[in-house]
Amino acid sequence: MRRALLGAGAAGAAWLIGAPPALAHGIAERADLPIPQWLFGWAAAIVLIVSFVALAVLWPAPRLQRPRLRRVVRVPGVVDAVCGALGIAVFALVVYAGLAGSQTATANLAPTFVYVHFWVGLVVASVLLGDVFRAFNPWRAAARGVAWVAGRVAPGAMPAPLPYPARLGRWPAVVTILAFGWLELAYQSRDDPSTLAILGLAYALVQLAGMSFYGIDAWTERADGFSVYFNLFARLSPWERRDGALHLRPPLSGVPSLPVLPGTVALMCTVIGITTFDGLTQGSLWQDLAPDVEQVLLDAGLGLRTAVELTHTLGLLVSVGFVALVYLLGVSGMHTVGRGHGTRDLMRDFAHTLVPIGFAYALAHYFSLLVFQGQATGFLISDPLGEGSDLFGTADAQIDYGLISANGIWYVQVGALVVGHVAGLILAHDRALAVYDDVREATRSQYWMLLVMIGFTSLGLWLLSATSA
Amino acid sequence: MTRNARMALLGAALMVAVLAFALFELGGDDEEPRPAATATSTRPQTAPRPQPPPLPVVELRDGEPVGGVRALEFESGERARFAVASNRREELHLHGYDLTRTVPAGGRALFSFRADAQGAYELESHDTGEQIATVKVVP
Repeated sequence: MRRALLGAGAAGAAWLIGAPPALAHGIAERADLPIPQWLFGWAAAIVLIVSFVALAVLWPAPRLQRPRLRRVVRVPGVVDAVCGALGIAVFALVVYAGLAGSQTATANLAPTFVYVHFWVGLVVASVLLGDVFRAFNPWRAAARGVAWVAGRVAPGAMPAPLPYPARLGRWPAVVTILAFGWLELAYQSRDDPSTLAILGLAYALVQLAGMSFYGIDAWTERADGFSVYFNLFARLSPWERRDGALHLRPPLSGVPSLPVLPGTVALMCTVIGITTFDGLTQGSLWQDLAPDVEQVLLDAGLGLRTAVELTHTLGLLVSVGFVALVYLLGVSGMHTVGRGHGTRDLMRDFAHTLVPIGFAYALAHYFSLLVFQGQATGFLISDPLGEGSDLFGTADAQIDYGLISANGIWYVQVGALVVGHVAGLILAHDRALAVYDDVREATRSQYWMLLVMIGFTSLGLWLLSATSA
Repeated sequence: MTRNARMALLGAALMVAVLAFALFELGGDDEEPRPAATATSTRPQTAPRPQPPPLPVVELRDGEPVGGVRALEFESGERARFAVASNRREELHLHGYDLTRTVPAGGRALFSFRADAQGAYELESHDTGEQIATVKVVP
């Protein structure tokens, strides 16, 4: 009955609902099949096994806290200029396509670029290649260009930047990432090319203003949400750029050096919470629950669209809150071990251990989107506006949905979660050895982090197995 | 941690591994004849299949699927066949496979294609923009 009622209301405004539940994120045409029971069982067992083995064999002295870098090659300054110019060109193209091109989401370059290349592709690229977004970041490049020209034309004329408020920390980045999550998962015009283009422009303007007040690097490293976001994942990569040269570092050793400014814990919980909610919306729990909430809101006199968006907003916030709660519980448990370690200190000390979990969640949920919708690059690059041009002769290319079997996707998903789990354990163990004076106390404190990691990995597996697709 | 504690943990890991193996390998047999999804009439349960399975039909009334959005399940590699019946003219689009069919008012449209791309795909009406069914292609 309720469904019929909703359906009747929806019929007229059906386009508002846009993607049906199974295809909540981005602009996918295809949804993943749930991981089968046997794989779920195996994955859970493997997680337990590696956890026990890890506790038994992990090292007794910290190893990752002060990594030794190996210099590979000098990076000349012109590389920055070229990458920056490229970044600006791509940004301009995407904004132009969004504003001037077809407003059909799948025919326009902008939505696929934003949700697939940018939001997912750059995460994977960051883990493989290091902080690529820093090199290509269009607003940073523009600001650096202006600063360079100003320095040439009128040296010393630029006022010194204001000191970045210490208490602000990474909170602006938290707001940005949460807002992007909301845009992707709650906002009903998420696919609208011109909306995305305008939001992109507005965001770039805010960043330019921020950089001009507080200095390019101070702002970029703390307040530019996307710079902060991609930098998190770049820390997992073996590449580090320092003193004008590219260095190699031991695996995972880039993560412990994450500066823990105010808002960092919130940032990690937001990153994981967004993916959690994305997974949740594809499962039957959400699909059974959401219509009831929407109905309550409709009865309260809200419009259909507002009701749907509000329900998703609530779901997103609850997901982020749930992730925070799991982390907080683990930290509170750790607090009971030994003396002189406040809960607040421990929360900050272990925030970086959530970085690999965040990556595992992102890869598990978006891998197939990247593989399949990523192929749309073929035709979109030849016809970015969706108006029938064929710049590179690939406008007729199609997405091959047979490229990877469901089995292949399942193994990547489960593999990502298990590897992320192990990486999280290793980081937590290593940090515990540095924080606690006594090896035994450190080990005992880690039973709690083990619970946190098993909790997150089980949640991840459950999300993958519960998709109702 | 003492040597004994390490050994105990490794032993525990081994036990979990053995247990998991026993559970999933030995218990795996009764999983094989997977019960067909209740929502679908896709495949008959009878083991020998002399004649082709009955054609699943999605019925639309005024653009709404009768009985809600169903999942049609096909095995990867087989020929997927289903029909959509509607009381009014409706343009249909199967995402991913990118097939379009038009159902005449009071008539039927047949989808028949090789199910070679695994995943869950949306069947939608181009007139209402709403989802009608999910087409699942499973390994």
